[in-house]
Amino acid sequence: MKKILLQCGDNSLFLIIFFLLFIIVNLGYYYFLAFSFQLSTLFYVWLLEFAALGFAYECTEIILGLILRESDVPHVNKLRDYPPVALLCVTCDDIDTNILKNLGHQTYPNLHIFILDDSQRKESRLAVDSLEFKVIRRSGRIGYKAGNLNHWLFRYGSYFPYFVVADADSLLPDRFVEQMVCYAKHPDNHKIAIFESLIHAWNRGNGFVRLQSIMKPVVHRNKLRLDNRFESTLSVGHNNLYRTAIVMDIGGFNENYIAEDYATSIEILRGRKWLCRTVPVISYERLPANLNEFAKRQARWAFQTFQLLNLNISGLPWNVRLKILGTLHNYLMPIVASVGMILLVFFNLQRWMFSPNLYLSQEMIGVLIKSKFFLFWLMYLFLPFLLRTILTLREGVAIGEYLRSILFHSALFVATIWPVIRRLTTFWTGDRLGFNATSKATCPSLLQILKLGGPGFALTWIALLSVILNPIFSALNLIWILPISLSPLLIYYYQRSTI
Amino acid sequence: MTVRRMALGMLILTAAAALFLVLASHVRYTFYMNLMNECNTIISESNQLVPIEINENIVNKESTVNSSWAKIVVLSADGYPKEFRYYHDKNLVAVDKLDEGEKIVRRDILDKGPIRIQLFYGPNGNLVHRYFLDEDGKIIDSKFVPFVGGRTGYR
Repeated sequence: MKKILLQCGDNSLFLIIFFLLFIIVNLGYYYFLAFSFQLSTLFYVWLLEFAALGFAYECTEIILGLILRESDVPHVNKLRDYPPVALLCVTCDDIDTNILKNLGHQTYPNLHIFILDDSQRKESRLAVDSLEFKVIRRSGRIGYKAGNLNHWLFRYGSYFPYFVVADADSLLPDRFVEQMVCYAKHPDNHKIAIFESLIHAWNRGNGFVRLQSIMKPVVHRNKLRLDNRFESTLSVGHNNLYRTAIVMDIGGFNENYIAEDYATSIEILRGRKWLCRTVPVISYERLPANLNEFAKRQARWAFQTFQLLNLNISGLPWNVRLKILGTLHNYLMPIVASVGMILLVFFNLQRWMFSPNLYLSQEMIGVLIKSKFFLFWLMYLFLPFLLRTILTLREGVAIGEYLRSILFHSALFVATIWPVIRRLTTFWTGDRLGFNATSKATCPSLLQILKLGGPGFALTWIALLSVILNPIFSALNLIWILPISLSPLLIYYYQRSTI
Repeated sequence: MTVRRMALGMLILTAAAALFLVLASHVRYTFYMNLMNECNTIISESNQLVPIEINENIVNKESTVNSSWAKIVVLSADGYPKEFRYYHDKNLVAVDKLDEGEKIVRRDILDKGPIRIQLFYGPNGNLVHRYFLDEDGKIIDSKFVPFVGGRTGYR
């Protein structure tokens, strides 16, 4: 089986497995469920299809992550010459001087550091000026980060064959630029336009951050094994190295989208002339340290992903298209989950009102557990979990840590349902280019957590209540609804804990 | 092609798959619902009949099924009700097997081959749930729809 899979064309392998799994899930739906022809049923089955898409995508990623080997990007061992490299640090009222000072520790001899400062506040500008780096400013903030980078690119870009982009919170190891140039200089890599690094969090002393980082080894594994092989690597916009000529050739960074990283790398990948690859070079960034920061970032990412709807994707490999679709699907999940929970509540209330004296007999439990119907749902719910567990254990993550990570991310998902939906609403109502850099925020109290994710939490509690009232019809739902109903408490606990 | 167009394609694909699933399984759903309705008819009509005690050891005109609908209570050796048999035009059409007192746990419907229906009752005697089983006793479908006919029982 493994051999057959590996013999398939690299680019089509992902698509084949994805559609195969999607069809298998649909066959399962057909075999185990029977639906009446009603509008409400149709809507419910539509949600099931969304879940099937997510299931197929996730399982494909995990299966291929398990069987494929790392796709090596070659590099030269030692540099013979040192071409001029620009290190661009993009800031906008989010400067941390201690972090920025570290940029000066790079070992690369021919490095020129520029601070591209879009800060509007006077104190931020003074802080930037206090550093010994060359500061570039412009009159406005047109194009946000992309505009800021382009401002530098078309003035100084021609002097540098490569440039590295860092954000205000980027922490680059001393040999980072040197290592990245070693990859860029290898003759086999002449078609690679962007070299991405493996980004870790530098503020892991915070328990909230540490839980976000638990699955990083698996994420990095997928970047090196899947994205590199299937040509679906997209730039994350920082801690990476660009070939200047190629970026200039496509007209610079795309200023029409807040997600300039995705938009620009899509422009580069179009027509398959140039590539984007992740290389095993470590770098660091700051991850959100509490729910306030996380919710802001999540809402912004959802917003900027939906803003990409107008982006032209002609000429892109299908794996990249599927990845973009996967990202959209991901940010659509808060809406799908909310609608699903509302449907569950209506279903349960309807049953409860019509048949108030129900009880779960021992016979029913016995028959249910023995039935294939139950086995199907159990497989459907737990197969991705089991596969991911194998993958996670392979990467050396302890099982306890992994389970905690799942619980934590489920809680975060519920807590950010409302902020994400609210932000997406502003997208649909016309605010297409509203952008604020994710700033540091104070750690919210339990009351503030409840206020932040209020409607999302309330919906889970109502759904839980409806399941308790109707265990005979929806007892299986307790598997997911019980843990997520504790979300506010879990988040409160985790963001207070420090390692 | 824009991302919007591709996303729209995804929405159409999932909607089409959903529509196909509903249409494909609707036939099965209708079949089970019709079967249940037939089952209800059998129970409700046979319950209208005046019970006549039939002793299989005595051969007379009352030991055979004469009416259009008939319900026969079969007793076990120790005198407890064991099963109900439903006849229509002298043909056996359904069997209610009893277990744990008067609770019906299985009904065999002889409709193009035997299909078993397992019924479960709530404390107030209302039917709350049923499973459709094949001949091997494997569940092939389940229904939660409230039952119309009310409970049958030993009379």
